[in-house]
Amino acid sequence: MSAIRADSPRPYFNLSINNEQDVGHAVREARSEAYLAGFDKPNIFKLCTIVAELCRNMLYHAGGGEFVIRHIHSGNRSGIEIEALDHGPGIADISMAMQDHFSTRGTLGIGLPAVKRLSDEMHIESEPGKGTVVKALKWL
Amino acid sequence: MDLEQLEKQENNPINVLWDDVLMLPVIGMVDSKRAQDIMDIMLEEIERTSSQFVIMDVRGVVVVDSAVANHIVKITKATSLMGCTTIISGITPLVAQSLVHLGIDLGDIVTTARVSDAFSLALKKLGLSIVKNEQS
Repeated sequence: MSAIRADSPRPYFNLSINNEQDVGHAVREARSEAYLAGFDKPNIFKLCTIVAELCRNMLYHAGGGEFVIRHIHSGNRSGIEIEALDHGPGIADISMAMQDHFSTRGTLGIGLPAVKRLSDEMHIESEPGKGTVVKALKWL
Repeated sequence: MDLEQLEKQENNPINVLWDDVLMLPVIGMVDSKRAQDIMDIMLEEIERTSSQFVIMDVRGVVVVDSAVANHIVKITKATSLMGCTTIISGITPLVAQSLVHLGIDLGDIVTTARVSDAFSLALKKLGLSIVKNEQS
């Protein structure tokens, strides 16, 4: 996780996710940021899918949260980092949540493992009762 | 008819393509309300027309994540309970890749790339075919 640093550049765009309309807004912002950063169509689509998954997760499990898009530069590489931060119940067992078809809500249970497959780097921190931070990074 | 019902119908224009074949293009973001509206409209129209096939075109859907896939699976199950087969068309290369990455198994759901493929599939199952006119 060397690329996801504490000294990441300032947020390029952030948004409170409180309802499903905000999820749509976040996806549209992510799409235009990814386009401006020079991503190709398949990767723009993947980034949008990551954003939709993470934002809906926050909405369903924590009732909402904060969503941030950052442009990342590391050496001669650049990319986009998506951060989803909530103050919900947290994830009791992250390794369980990362398994395919594990769900506490009777859904498909593929959200977090899918985010991992769609992104180049992914990092989760969660403390039960405090909240969850998920960061997903995609290099150009 | 109340305003909500009117908006629901305007946002989800379902067409009769042929006897027994309906088509609904889905464009934009699909959230849980939209998915519920689509399901309502489809089921009402299936009941009204007693159609055997409904084609749901997802080419214009902005993003297909696990929630959207979940909605598609539910809609398909509901229509099949009414004796109507749903064919999902507009599976673009991007959507196909996305579904694979998501690890979504659409199971027995019939999917096609283009609306025309879905339509000809429905006609074939109904025992119909389109024939070129000899004179023209």
